[in-house]
Amino acid sequence: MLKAIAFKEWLKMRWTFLAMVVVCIGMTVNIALDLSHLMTMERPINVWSYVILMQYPFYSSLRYIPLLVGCAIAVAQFVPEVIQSRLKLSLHLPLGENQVLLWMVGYGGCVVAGLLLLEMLAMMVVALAYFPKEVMQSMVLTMAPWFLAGLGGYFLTATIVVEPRWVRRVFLILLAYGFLDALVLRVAITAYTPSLLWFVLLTVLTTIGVVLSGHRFRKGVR
Amino acid sequence: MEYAVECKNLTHYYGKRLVFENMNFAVRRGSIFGLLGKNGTGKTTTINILNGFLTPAGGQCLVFGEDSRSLSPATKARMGFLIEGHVQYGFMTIKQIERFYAAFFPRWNREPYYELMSKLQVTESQKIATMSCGQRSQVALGLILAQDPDLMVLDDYSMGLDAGYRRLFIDYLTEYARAEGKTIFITSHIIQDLEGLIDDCVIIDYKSVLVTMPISQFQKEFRRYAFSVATPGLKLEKDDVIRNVELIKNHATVYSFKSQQEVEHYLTGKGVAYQHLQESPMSLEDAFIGITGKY
Repeated sequence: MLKAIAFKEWLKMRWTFLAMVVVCIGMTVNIALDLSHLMTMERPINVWSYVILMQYPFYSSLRYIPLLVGCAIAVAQFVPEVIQSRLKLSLHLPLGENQVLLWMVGYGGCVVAGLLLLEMLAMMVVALAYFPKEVMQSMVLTMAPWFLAGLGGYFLTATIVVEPRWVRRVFLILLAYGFLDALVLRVAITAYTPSLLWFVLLTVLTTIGVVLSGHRFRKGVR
Repeated sequence: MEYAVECKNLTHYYGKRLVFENMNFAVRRGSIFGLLGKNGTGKTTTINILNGFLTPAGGQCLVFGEDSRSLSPATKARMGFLIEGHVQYGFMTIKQIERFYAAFFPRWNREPYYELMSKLQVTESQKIATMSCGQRSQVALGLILAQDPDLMVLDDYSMGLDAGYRRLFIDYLTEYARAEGKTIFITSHIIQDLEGLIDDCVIIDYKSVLVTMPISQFQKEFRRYAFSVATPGLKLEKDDVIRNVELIKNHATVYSFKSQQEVEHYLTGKGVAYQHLQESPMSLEDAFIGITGKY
């Protein structure tokens, strides 16, 4: 059954997923080429000086990409479910009340997390190709909130799409904007590191939203 | 007697608007039950309550003895559900959707599904979204038959279908249900299609239940009488004897569960100067319009 759910979810999101893979690869290659170009045009010592001493975030163009990935995959996955109330088909499957939604959102969350993890690994490789590991570590810490925004964006977008009542949707959009904007607000090296744990906890909390919206959908709230 | 579905004192509101109040009916196992009513009288609302997609304001629905507000996976596996408009996963192909559903139902039998698909001019790799409404209806029906449920809940199966597809749908459904002893709960706008199909019915109107009885009894006991009156402007109120009245100039038609003699006696008692009162036969659709009215 889990395999069948995964199959259905994959059918819905596959083209969006592939588009997001292309975007991620494109952005990573672009950053790598920019660094290579800089190293060639400027002396490497100057580039190191920009990055290490002047804290130039060479990866800043990635700021909104994880958020884009999360939101796009949630839309691809859940909009077809709410059109013509197709979600009723999924909820009518012989599974527990919340089980089917949890499986759907769990699968989507894993896809988003997997893609973002690969993107982070690719960026770590790029960073290590030109800089010492301390630069790579600070890059990871600086980008971590953006990647959390990707996961949070996925869960919150899913919650908003599944939510049956428009008034509540507007409220959720405002709430999501506030939370996600805080995560991608600044490009300051390791600025969020002290509060990273709290952001992780808040992101984990966003996973509950879609279950609550799904429950309201199931109970016929209009 | 064991019932597949029992609705007891079902009441529902949308905001402050009453949809129906204290609706009671029971669906015998192995029977075909029609929920009939005009647009907006609460047919889809009832089906949503039955499937657990709506919490009623009052009363309850039992499906195989289980409260519809929290149906167990085992009970859901025994229910086939056709959503109004034959909604299915349009992003899947004929083959993919069969493969998908097969994973959930232990009694899955793909034969009736592919038998129906073979009658359509489609290929296995065709996406459902690219099919006509009629073809989609057959996909939805084929999936329900393959599921082999004990109870089929079909919400307005006739929506958007031409006469050929409606006939195909009904023929398959009837043959399957009668042969396998399945219970069907059906709603439709096209009342004439249900004639000869359904065993029992409940007819609902805005806010109220008009009739709950076997369809044969309804067709036998519900009668139409036409007569002329000397002067236009006849005023007759609906009551226990006269269930509906239509008046065009000097020609009146009344609908009643009473015999001709009782209606004549009633009219005389009301001082109506009627002439040429005659009972005229009715189809199920005539009877439906007769009891619900044209407006």
